[in-house]
Amino acid sequence: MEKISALIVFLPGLVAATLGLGWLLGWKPGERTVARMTSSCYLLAGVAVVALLGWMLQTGQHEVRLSLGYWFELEEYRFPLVLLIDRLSMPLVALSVLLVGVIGAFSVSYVHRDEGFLRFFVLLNLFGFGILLLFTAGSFDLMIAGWELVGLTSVLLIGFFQFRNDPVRSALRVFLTYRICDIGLLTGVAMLHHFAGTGSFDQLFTGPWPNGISLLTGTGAMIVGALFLLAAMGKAAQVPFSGWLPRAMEGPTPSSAIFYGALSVHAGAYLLLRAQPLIASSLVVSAAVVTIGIVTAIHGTMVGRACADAKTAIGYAAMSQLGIIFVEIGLGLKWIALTHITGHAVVRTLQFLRAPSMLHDHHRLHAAAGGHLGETGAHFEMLLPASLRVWLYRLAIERGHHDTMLDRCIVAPVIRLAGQMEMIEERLANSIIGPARPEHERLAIRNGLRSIGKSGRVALGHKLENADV
Amino acid sequence: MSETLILPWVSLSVLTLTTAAIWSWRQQTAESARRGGTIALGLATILLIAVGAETAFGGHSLHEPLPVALRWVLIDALNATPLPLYAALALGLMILAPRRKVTPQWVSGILLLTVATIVAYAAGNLAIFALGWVISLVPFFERRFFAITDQNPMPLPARIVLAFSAVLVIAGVAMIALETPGDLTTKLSIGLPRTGLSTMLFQAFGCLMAAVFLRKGLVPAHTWVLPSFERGPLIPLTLLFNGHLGAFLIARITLPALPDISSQALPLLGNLGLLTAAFTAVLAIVERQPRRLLALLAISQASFLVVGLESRNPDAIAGALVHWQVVAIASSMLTAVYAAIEARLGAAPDARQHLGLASGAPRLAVFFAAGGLALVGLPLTLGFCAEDLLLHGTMETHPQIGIILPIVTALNAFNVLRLFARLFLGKPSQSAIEIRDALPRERWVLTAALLFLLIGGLRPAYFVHLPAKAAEMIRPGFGAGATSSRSVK
Repeated sequence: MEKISALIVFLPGLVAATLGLGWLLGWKPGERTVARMTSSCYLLAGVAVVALLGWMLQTGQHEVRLSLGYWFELEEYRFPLVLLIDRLSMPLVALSVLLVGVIGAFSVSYVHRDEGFLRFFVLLNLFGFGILLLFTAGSFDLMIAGWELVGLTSVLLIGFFQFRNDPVRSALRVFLTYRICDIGLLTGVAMLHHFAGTGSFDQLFTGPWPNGISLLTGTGAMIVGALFLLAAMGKAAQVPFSGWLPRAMEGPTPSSAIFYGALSVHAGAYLLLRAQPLIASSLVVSAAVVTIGIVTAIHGTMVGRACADAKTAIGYAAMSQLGIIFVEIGLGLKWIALTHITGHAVVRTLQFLRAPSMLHDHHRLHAAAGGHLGETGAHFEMLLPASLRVWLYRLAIERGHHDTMLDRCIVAPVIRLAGQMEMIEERLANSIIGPARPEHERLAIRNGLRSIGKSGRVALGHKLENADV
Repeated sequence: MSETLILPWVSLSVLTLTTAAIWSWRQQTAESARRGGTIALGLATILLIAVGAETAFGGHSLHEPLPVALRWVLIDALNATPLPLYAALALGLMILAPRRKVTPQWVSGILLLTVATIVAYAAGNLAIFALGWVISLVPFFERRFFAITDQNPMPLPARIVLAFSAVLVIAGVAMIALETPGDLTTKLSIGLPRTGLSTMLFQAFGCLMAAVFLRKGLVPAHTWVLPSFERGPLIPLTLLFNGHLGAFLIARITLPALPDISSQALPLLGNLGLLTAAFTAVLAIVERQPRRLLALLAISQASFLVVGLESRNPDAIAGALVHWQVVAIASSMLTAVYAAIEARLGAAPDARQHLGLASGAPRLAVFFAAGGLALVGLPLTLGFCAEDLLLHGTMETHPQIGIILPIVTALNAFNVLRLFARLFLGKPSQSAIEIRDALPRERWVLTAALLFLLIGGLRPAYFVHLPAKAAEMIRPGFGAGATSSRSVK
């Protein structure tokens, strides 16, 4: 029965590989073939999930562990391939199979006759594989593989409408944010090996989720916990890494629903839930998780209210809920957080999928109510002084200036450093090899750098534009 | 322990390639030369796969079944993988090269470069290694090999740098030989440890490290690589660069032959490797010329080889050797796709704006993205396994390096995706829409390369086996400074 978990995880990967490699070698599957392959895959996976759940309930087992041997092994280092379905991952696996299947069915008509039809489904299936691998990984090492696949497919779907420049730029920005935060996961796992000598859950924690206690404590737990928090902040769009979320809405609506409403945004919360014993052993990290959650929840609700488009407003609402989920995790309310994640994912998926027809829905409701819909707009913020409300509104419109802050504090210094390195490199090359590039281009670089030195916002924007971030 | 190969596979492949190089030089048409070159490289690849297979199934230090005086080859876990890999790489690039770039002399040059690199890999003594190093540079000095016009495509200073590296290798080898007592065979023995810290050995070490520094393009010697990639013959340069003879020199000669000095002085080169990886990754952020960006990516990722080899940890050394395979295949995929684009557009594209080439060439776009992402450690590719080993191993010995590596990789991943976006995404122009997608020969070769990376990612055990053995072989070179990996997961 344990082998069923491998079937659930690898089926979507197999479909993605078949479609992708077949196409590379010249196969052009029709829309119907692609749709049938996808729906059959999730139907089969769904049956497998139900069977596995039934078996677990019947036998009273709390976890199913499948060891597929070692991915690779050296004399003293082994990378175990272990799939684990326990009380934490089972609801999320079931949710993933259900929601990706639903999104697949919905998308057949949404991307019908689009030239990227096949690409969309390859990426959707690859995402399905990535998220299932992430949720069923038996170690933090294996989790990285799923984590990065989810990030990559997310970025490629944001740039789905590839012949427009804006989605492409947005995809790059999101990718950059993801990569910066993923450093947290990569380094965290490496640190985990350094401090604890393992990345497997069964060797790190004393018992199965949610009862385990971390065997790693003290400074090691704090460092690893903080690094995992950085990774989770990136995926879950927590403050100050929240600026990518509105940009991510450039992708097709079904992908927005599955990524930013349902599953991808919750991957960060899942990481923290999985590492909760580790986080709980460090008061500093727990406090940081709660603080970031509170700040994000307030930021999300504030900005969401000032958003002009439906998808972005839903995205910020999701961010706000994610902030609350972070607070729950920080406070050790694991079951509440898990329930919150599953419920939230379903509601947001529905909202995202209905977003394109929101006006139509409103008009229908309006007509059905005889033109007398209830008043809206009476919110608690009306209790605040008017001047403060204006100030908060401006802050919300500017989305808390988070992007500007990140641009000024991280992106601009890196680009300035890169520009200075380029000048050094060029001088070096000029002295050894001769001029490498035309004079006007060199001047442009120098002028741009000088402007950044004076903190000119226009010049900074220009440089950021050139650097694609 | 010394064993014998079933047949003299390496000598046969060298003979085949040399004959083909001479034959193709005399051909009248490029197509017949390319056909001959392809067959010769295919044959050499098969012969060298046999070498790899024999080593994988238990061989330690294998010689060819030839009279003792003619035994010039030493096969072990260290070179058993690079030998067939390099021949296969040359074969792939030979097939992928755009038709307008290929001349009979070009084919001959590629074959000469391949045979020289194979000789250096397989060399059982120092002199033959130096010979391989020198001959591998010859095609870049004789303009008839790779130039379409009368002008040599490699900038003169770049050629001077490469020539200087050859002089340094010869000097280093000569000094080691002079300092070694015994007959000529002993003096030139490649694996014999020369213990002690004599001035002559220090000078030899210095010469060899300077040669590595120049050939690998470590900062500030990277200045020869960038203009060469910008103006020079892209595919031959990729093949030259992906020989990684500099890294091979460290693993093959410096560590076993000069263990005492290596354990003291090699960390300097490792730090330089790390600096190069970081410097070029940051520099690439503002680079807009695709050829230079490709060069920066290749240098940055290839610098991890030096970092891993210097780490004194078997996991990191094995990771570096697996990373070698990844860099060779993935960066060649990127270059080949880019060369195909240049050939289709008729000139180097201006990547200051989005070109939208995916509209006309979606398969080329996919190959480029997949190759680039494998280069930076995309999960399910061999790159992921290499990064994992490198990160894990370096973290054990040098935590500060273990922290910098993911940052550099993250930057490189961004640079790959940025270049991909500039070339393939965005609003397409008319020329972009009309561009031809991957031709069947391109499609098959690039798919094979992609499958190599994917199968390597799914079943890395096959690809890690020999590098792990090689790492165990190299580690004693660090003496007491070497560490074992703490963690057994």
